[in-house]
Amino acid sequence: MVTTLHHILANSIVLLALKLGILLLLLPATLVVGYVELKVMAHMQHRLGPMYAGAYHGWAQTLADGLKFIQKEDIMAAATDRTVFSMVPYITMLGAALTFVVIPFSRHGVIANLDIGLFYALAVSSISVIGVLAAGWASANKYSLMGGLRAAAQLIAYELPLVLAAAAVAMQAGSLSLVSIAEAQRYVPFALWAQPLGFLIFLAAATAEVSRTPFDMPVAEAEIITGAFTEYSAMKFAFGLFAAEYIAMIGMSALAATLFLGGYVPLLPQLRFVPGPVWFLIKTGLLIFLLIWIRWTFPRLREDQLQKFAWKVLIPLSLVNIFVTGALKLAHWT
Amino acid sequence: MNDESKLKKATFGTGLLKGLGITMRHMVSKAVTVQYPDEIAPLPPRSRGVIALKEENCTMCMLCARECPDWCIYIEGHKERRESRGEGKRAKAFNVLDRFAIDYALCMYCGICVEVCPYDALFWSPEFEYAEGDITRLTHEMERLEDWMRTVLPPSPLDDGAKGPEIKSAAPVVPAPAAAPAAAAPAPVETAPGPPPAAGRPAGMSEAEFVEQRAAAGRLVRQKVYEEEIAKGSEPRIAEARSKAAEMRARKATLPETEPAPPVTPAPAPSRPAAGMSAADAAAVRRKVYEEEIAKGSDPRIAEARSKAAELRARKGTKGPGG
Ligand code: SF4
Ligand code: SF4
Repeated sequence: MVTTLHHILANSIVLLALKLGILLLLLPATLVVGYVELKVMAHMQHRLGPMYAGAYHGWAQTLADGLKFIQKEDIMAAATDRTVFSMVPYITMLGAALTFVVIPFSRHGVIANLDIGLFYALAVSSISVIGVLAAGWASANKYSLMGGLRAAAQLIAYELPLVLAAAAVAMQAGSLSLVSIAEAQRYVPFALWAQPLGFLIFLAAATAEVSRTPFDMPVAEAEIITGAFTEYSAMKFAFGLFAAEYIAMIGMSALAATLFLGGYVPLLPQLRFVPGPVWFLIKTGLLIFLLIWIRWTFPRLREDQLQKFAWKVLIPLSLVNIFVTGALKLAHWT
Repeated sequence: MNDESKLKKATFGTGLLKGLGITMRHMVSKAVTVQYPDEIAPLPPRSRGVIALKEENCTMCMLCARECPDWCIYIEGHKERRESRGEGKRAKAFNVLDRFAIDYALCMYCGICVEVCPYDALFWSPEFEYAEGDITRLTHEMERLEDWMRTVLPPSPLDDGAKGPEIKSAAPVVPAPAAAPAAAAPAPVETAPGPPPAAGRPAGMSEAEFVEQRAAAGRLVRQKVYEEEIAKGSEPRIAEARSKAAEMRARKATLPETEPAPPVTPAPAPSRPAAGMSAADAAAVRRKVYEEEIAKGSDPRIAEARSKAAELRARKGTKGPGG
C-alpha cells in the first residue's frame, strides 16, 4: 500500500515537472514558428528573409525581436482603462496556452486526459475572444474598437463550424477524450477516411479562429492597424498579439492533428518504432506549415464575404457532415 | 452576384489549389536577394548613381538649375571682364563659376539636368555609395562633384556608319605638358582616311589617363596664376577667379573642342586591339587592362570601368570604318 502510494507520488512529481515543462516550451516554440514563418514567407516572395541575427541564416531573429520588445517603452494612452488594458495579454496568452493541457503528445504523455478533453479544448480556445474584445474596449481608440468587434463577430461565427466539425469527429470516435479519439485513428486518420470534409471545415474555421489570412479582418494591418492591438506597445504587444497568435496557431494545429491526423498514432503499422511525440510533432508541424502557406497565398476576405462564408457555407456543410457521419455510423459502414 | 457567377464557372477550389501551387513553386526556387554590403549586385555600367560635374565645360547658363524639378542645384558666380587684347578686338565679359552644388538629399535622380546641359558639363556616374549620417553632407560642392568625374565612363562608341562630331581644330596638336613623356611612346601614327584623328590624345594613352593628365596640367597653371595674383596683392577672391579663368584658357588652348574625344577613330595605339577581335579576345583585353589598372593602384571600381571601356572599344574595332 505504502509503496504504491510512494510510487504514484514519485511518478506524479516527475510527471508534473514534465507537464510544466511542456507549457514552458511554448514560448520558445513561438519563436521557432515565428522564425519559420519569416523564412517561408520570404522565400515565397523570392527573398532570403532574416540572414544576420545569430550569424547562421538569421536563426536568432525572433529572439532578437522579443528582446527588443522587452526593452521598449510601454506606452499607455491617457484614456485607456489601465487595469483591463494590462490584463489582456494574460487572457489571450492563457486562452491560447490552456489547450495544451489536454493534447496528447503520446499515449501517456498528456497533462490531463480528461473525458471531455475535446469539449475543454474548444471551450478554452474561445477565452481569447474576451481578451481581444477587452483590448478593443480598453484602448479607447476607434480602430481598436472596430478590430475588437470584428474579432468578436468573426470568432463567434467561426466557432460554430469548428465545434460542429469537431462534433462529427467525436461521433466517429465515440468519445470526447482526445486520447481515445487519437486511438480510434490507429493507422487510418480521419482526414483520409470518414471525415475529409470535416477536416477541411475544421481547417478553415481554425484559420479564422486564430485570425490569420485569409480571415485576418480583425487585425488587418492595412486598414485598422492590427485592430484591437493598435494601442499596445512593448511587452504587452509582443505577448498579447504575437505570442498569443503563435501559441493559438500551434494549439489549433495540434488539435487538428489530433482530431484528424491521428496525433501521436503512427500512420503505418510498420512505422511503429518511431515514437509518438515525433509523429505528433511531424503532423502538427505540417499543419503549421499549411497555415503559413495559406497565409502567404490568399488575399484577405472582406467582412461580408467572411460572414457569408461562415454562415452560408461552412455551417450548413458541417451540419451535412454530422448528418452523414451519423447515418454512416448507424449503417455500420464506418 | 458577379463573383458568385464567376465562382460557378470555374470548378470549385481549383483556383485555390493553383494559388497554393504558385507560392510553393516560388518557395523552392532561388531567392533573388543580394546581401548588399557583403555582395554587390552587378550593376549596369551606366547606372545612374551620382551626377558628376565637368567644371571647365560649365558656362553658368543656369539651364540645369532652372529645369531641376526639385530646385536642388545651386549655382553662384560672377562676371569678369577681359580688356580688349588689341586693335580691333572687343572687350569680353565671361562668367566665372564660384559655386556649383547639388543637394542629393533633394535630388530625385530624374536626370533632367544631365539631359538639358547644352555644354556636356554634367554626367552620370555609376557610383552610389555616398550615404551620410548628416543630411547637410549630402550637398556635394563643386570639388566633390568634379571628383566624381573620375568614375564617369567614356562615351559609348558610335553606331556603325554614324559620323563623329566635326572637330574644327586644324591646329597642330600640342600635348598637355604633363603628357609629354607618354607621347614619346613608340607609336607609328597613321591616320585613317575617314574621320579626323582624335586630337590631343597621344597614342598609347588611354582615354581616362589623358583626361587626368590634362586636368593635372590645368591645375598647375591655375596654382601658378593664383600665386602670382596673390603676390601682386590681389584679393583672394579675384585671384581665385583669375586663376580659374587661366586654367580654362590653358585647357582650351591645348584641347580639341569636343572632349573627351569619342573613340570613333581607329587610333592606332599599341594597347588597342586589332580589328576583327572576337568576344573572347575582347574579354582578355578587359582582364589585361583591369590588371594593369590594379597594378597602378587604381580603385577597383575605376579599374572595372576602364577595363570595360577598353573591351567595348576592342569589340567595336571589328565593326569600325577601319575594319
Ligand atoms: S537629377 Fe533631377 S532632381 Fe537631381 S539635380 Fe538633376 S534635375 Fe535636379
Ligand atoms: S546646364 Fe550645364 S552649362 Fe548650364 S549651368 Fe548647368 S551644368 Fe553649367
